[in-house]
Amino acid sequence: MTNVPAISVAECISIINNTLAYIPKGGFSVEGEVVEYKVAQGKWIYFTLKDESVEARLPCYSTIYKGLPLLEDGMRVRCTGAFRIFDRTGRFTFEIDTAEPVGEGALGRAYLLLKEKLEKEGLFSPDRKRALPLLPAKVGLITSREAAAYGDFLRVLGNRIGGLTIVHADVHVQGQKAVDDIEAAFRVFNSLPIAERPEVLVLTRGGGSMEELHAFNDERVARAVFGSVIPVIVGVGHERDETLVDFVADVRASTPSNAAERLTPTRDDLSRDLEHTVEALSGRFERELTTRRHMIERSTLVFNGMVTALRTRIEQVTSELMLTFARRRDRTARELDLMARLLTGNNPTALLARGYAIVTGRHGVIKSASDAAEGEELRIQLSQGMLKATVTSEKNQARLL
Amino acid sequence: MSAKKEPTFSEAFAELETLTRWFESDEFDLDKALKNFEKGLELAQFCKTRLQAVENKVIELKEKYSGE
Repeated sequence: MTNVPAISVAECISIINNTLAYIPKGGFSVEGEVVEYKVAQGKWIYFTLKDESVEARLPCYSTIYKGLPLLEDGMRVRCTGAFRIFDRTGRFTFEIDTAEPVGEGALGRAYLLLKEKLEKEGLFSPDRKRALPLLPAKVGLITSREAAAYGDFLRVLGNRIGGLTIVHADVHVQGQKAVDDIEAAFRVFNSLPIAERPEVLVLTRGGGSMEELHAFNDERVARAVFGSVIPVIVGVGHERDETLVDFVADVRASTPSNAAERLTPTRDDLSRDLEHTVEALSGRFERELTTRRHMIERSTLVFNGMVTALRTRIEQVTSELMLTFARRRDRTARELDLMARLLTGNNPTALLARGYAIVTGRHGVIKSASDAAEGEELRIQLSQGMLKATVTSEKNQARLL
Repeated sequence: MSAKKEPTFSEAFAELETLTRWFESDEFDLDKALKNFEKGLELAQFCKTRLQAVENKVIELKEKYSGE
């Protein structure tokens, strides 16, 4: 006993821990029931795993950074991690890396706990739900090519509409890789340049047991859907299935086929909408045109009336003028006639023709015998020709008439 | 519109609806109406053509995303 080397406690623990390190990490998982679960200072998680039939207990430790699902006492879980003795407490501890609820009961509880937590955080808030474009040009499809959902979705979509580009991210929809795959697909789609980015993402798979659907109840996947800049349609399982991502999705579809139905209206629906819109557009336009045509017709009518009235007035005025003018002309003509007749009466030539003569002497026309002296030479103007005569005597008589 | 990338169906349809609302509004100006009407018919034609597409195209996301 005395010839074995003595080592310190710390050295001893170190040797034990080095030995424990030989146990392959993740080489197996430990299944047991959770008891004495508690979270200290919001960071450190302590609980004990125990068997149900045999009295055996395993103290467990983890941190919230490991991202374990929410656990509670009585839940059956499968844990992986490493084994170690803490120097300061000498306490043997199972340091948990992953913990997975087992059995429908435990899964159901874990589901409810996480649902409550995410709901409190606002991941399900209806205010956050975004509207989808009427008809997207590009759609990101996140599902497994092997899944029936893949074919169902594309077939139903193809029956509704054409011309879409579906960018498919082939992911595992169950099993260990599912969460990482789906999370990564969301990351890749959201980090595409805007021009290449789909307008809608569709996350879908067919129905399954709660264990098969675990990725769709996973916190990381729920957060990936929540954090997506691109609106997300989730269609998981059958009609009655509910998963956490359903609640986070902008649009919740009941099945993969329903996801296609929620994604776009049918070609016929869109054509009808389009027709109605065009009808509304041209209807108003035609009504306005008709109104204007009527206005123009009315205006023309009014204008024509005005022109007719004006023309009538002009004709009236003109005829009045003509009448006045004619009257005046007639009167003038009569006056002229009168004057002409008067003038004609006094025309010396006419008088001469009737036998009168004009006698002119040295001092002009002789009107009185006394105007001419004896021996004076006179000129006698006759109607035809002229005579020269000499005054032989003068007889002063009063007047001729 | 012509210089930029082609509008999507949703954009074209939304614009068409905006035009239709304008036609239903009170500020109706004949010159503008004529322009808007022509524009509306153009958009409707675009949408109609778009609806005639038969096939959907599936392409695989090339980026490495699988969490190995």
